[in-house]
Amino acid sequence: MLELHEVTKRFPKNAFILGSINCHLSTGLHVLAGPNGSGKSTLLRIAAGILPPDRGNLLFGGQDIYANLAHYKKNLGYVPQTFAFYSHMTGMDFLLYLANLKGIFSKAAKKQASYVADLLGILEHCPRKISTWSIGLRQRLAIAQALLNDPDILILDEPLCGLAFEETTEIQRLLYTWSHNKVILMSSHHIDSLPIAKLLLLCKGTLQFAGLPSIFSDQAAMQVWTAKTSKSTWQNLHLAFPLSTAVFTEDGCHCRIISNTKPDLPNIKPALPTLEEAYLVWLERLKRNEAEQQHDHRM
Amino acid sequence: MTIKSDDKKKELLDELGEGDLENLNTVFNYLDSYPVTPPPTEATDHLLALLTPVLQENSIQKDVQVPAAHSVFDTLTERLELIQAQLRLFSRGFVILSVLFFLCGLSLTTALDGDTLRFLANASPLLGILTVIYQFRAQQNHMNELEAACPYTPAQLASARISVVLVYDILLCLAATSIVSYGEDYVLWQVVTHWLAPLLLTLGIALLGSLRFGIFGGSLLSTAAWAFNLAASKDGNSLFSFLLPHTPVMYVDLLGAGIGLILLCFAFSGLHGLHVWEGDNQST
Repeated sequence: MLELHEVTKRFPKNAFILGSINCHLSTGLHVLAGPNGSGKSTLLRIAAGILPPDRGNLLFGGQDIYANLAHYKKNLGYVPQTFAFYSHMTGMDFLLYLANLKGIFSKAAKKQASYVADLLGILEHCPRKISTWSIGLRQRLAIAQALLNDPDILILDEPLCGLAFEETTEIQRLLYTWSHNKVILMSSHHIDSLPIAKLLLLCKGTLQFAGLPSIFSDQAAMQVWTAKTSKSTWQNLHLAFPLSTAVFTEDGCHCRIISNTKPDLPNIKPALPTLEEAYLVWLERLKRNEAEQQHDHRM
Repeated sequence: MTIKSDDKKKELLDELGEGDLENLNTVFNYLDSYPVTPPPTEATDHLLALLTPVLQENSIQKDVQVPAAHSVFDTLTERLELIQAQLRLFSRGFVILSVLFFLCGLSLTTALDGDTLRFLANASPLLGILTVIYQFRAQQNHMNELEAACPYTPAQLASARISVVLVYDILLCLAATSIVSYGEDYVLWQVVTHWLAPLLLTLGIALLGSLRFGIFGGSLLSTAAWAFNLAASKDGNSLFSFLLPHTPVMYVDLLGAGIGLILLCFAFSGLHGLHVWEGDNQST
């Protein structure tokens, strides 16, 4: 189990403060969601032990990770959000290099590199230079390197970014498999089709929610509505409710409207919110609360 | 008030991955059977008064202290394996270009004035600077964050890279020495110290400077020192010869090599202060 206690990080240059963050992550898939610039990458770097927090503790298996950071990192697989590769390396060279950096050498390194490459479906591309690879292949290579040491903890910063639909589905399936015996903490904007054990919502450096996804979406109940309309009505609706979505058919469109009051439309019904819709409701609510607080402060 | 809908309960059980609906219903019924009345204010205050000292004691958070040493990857074998891994950073292109640089330089010098020893003394620092930039290009390649998540510390990585730079440059210069010394009446160790001194000196400046200004800043500082030495020196001798005019070249070279080694030692000791990644920490 990975535990974060009162974790705080300050960036005086841009006045950004992360924290204080408290959460317990056990085996399973934990998804960190939040708008851009909310501190997700910083929190993941802290959890990966590569950026020390200013205050607070990180415990893994009850032990402070900084008591033996190398031991913690031996059990860690990490995929950063932005990364590149040494351009002269082939996929296999890269995996062998990272295996060496994780303390795996010679035959064991080759065996493990081939295994993870095969698992991620990139083995046949590995003899080629990475500079010739597509973005999707590179993303899979980045995930593959995180598995080289068969880690207990996987920390992935936007691992689904840049992947094609079928690749995303395959990675989601793998994440589900790994979540049975690993602590997985990942940030993602695609939260609907993931087998999430715990959802964490981070906004402006503050953890707003940490819990079961069903409880998260319950908070958005009676704020998502569904109706069938014409395409022209939808265009007006979209202007009035910008967070709404629609599926177009030959005779009109099925729209899903996010609104905290019932829109004035014929045959409109409340709908069960998806996680992504609940996420939008949460963000709207937080924005409203912040505006109200600022208003009260001025008064 | 508890959850009434069976579907909702099933959903919760699925997410929790344990228990069954019957047990959950029993628990909810049991909870529902107890009417909860809010406690009186006095009771709440009393409870808070009892808890406050305990909570304060537990909530004391210490600033994070990054330990000075790590308990793994400290053996000689593990360090040698790390050095071996860093050899993968050399590309065939870099090796071919650096060898060609030496061969072309030596050929041109032979054709022009024949002072190949001077060429070697001036080219070895340049090779050192280029090798440092090439070997320490992780940040430019956006690889440093990925490398920082590996169990080796940044200090151990940097030490391994310095070792690779030193070994590669010295081997290449030794190969060039054999070409320069072939058929000439040179004392071998004097030829070696003649290029080793400026090489160690520039590497020392580059690496010590990199602790303060980053690898490019350190390399720039070192290049400036090398250029200044070229401009200020006379007759192909180093700046030290100019500053110590009556001292034999051999001693001047030994002095330069000694200062270079001291700078490298300082750089090594400075590296041991690095234990965590301090990359683009403005990015959130």
